[in-house]
This record gives sequence, structure tokens and C-alpha cells, in this order.
Amino acid sequence: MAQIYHYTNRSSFNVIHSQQTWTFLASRPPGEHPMGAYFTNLDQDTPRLARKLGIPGEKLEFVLCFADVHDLRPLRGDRGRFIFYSPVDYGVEPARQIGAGPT
Amino acid sequence: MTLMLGRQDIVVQTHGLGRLPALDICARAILLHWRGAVFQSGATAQVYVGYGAIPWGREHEIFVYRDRDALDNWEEFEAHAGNANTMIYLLAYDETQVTVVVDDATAREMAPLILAMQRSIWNMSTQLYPLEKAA
Repeated sequence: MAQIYHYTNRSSFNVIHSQQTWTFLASRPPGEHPMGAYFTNLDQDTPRLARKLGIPGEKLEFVLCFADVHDLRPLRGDRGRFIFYSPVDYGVEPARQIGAGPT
Repeated sequence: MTLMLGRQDIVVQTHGLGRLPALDICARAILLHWRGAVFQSGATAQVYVGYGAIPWGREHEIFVYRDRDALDNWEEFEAHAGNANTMIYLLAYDETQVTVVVDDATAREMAPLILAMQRSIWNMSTQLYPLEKAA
């Protein structure tokens, strides 16, 4: 089963991980990207991961991993091969949660 | 806040050139503006010293840094306000498009670069396929 990852900093991790159903809030990213909660299928061993996602290094401090059910949309363009989003808040129930912690 | 995406994605059509020639053309267009550009494989993070060292047949993703100092800065600090618009991330997995990822496509130092890539691909495609374009 394919895995999806959400990388974040400690404060956001603590908020999400404290919930029984992890809830990732949709927000407006920079640029012209659609509003959403964003995820990737790239694991933490991917070379230059922060650069590929376009985020500061400290956003890679923690990760939440869950099973993919193929309901996320790919980002427009070639980064859509590994960046996906939900246009609305996205919940992951315990049955789909695989693991979470520091990277 | 759970933001996990940054930078801007500009999708450039290859106009029949195909993925590898278009990627190559983008790199050459960048070099006209960034004479000291340094290239790095997106797959392995290997740094290529000089345009001629890039194994184009193997690469689907390339980071292009303005110069060696920019590469060193990104390697040490990752993205921060001080190194904005000093790196372009090129991806080409599809024969019909190249994706150009930048910090700010409207920035004074970045807009001409993007336009140069788009024009170079367009000009090359019209030289190679003039009859098909005219038909």
C-alpha cells in the first residue's frame, strides 16, 4: 500500500498528532497554488527533499505517515508526481495512520 | 498551520520538442543569464561542474544555482529569505512540458529568465517544425 507523508515543524506536529483523527488544515500556500492541505509521497531519505517541496529545512523536523487511498489531487505540473493536496481540511482516521515522529 | 508547499510552478509547453531537448534548452537559456550557474542532479544530488558534465539522458530533474556561492548557501541553510531567486528547479517527466519552479516568477531577476526559457523553446520548435506549425 502506498504511503503518504506530511512534514512539518514541532508545533504543528504536536497539534495534529494529539488528535485521534489527524486533521490537516487547508491553507493558502504562496504563489498561485490552490488552497489546500499538502502532502507528498517522498520519504525522508529523498535527496534534497526540502528543496523539492520548496519549504525551509525546519519544516522537515517531524513527519506523519499514513496509507494512501488515492483521494488527493496532484499539483499541476511535474511536481504533481510527488506533491498532492486536498482542497479542504483533510482527516486521517486511526485505521490509516502508519507512524509519526521526528525525521 | 500545516503548510507543506512553497515556491511557484511554471509549466512550459515543449511544443513538440520533447522533454530532454526542452530541458537542455532551458539550461542553456539560464546560462545566458547566470554565467556561473552550477547544476545539481535532482535524483542523486550530484553536482555537475559545467554544463557539459550533465548526463542529459539520465536526468529528469535538475537544480540550477546562480553560482557556486548560491549552491553552498542552499546546501548549508536550505530555503530562506536571503537566498530567494538564486535557484531554479527544472523538472521534465512529460514529453509535452517542462516545469520551472522558482521563488517568485515576477521578481526582477527571475522574470527575464523564465521568458528566455519560454522563447528559446518556442524558437527552437518553430525552426524544427515550421511546416507543421504553419499547417
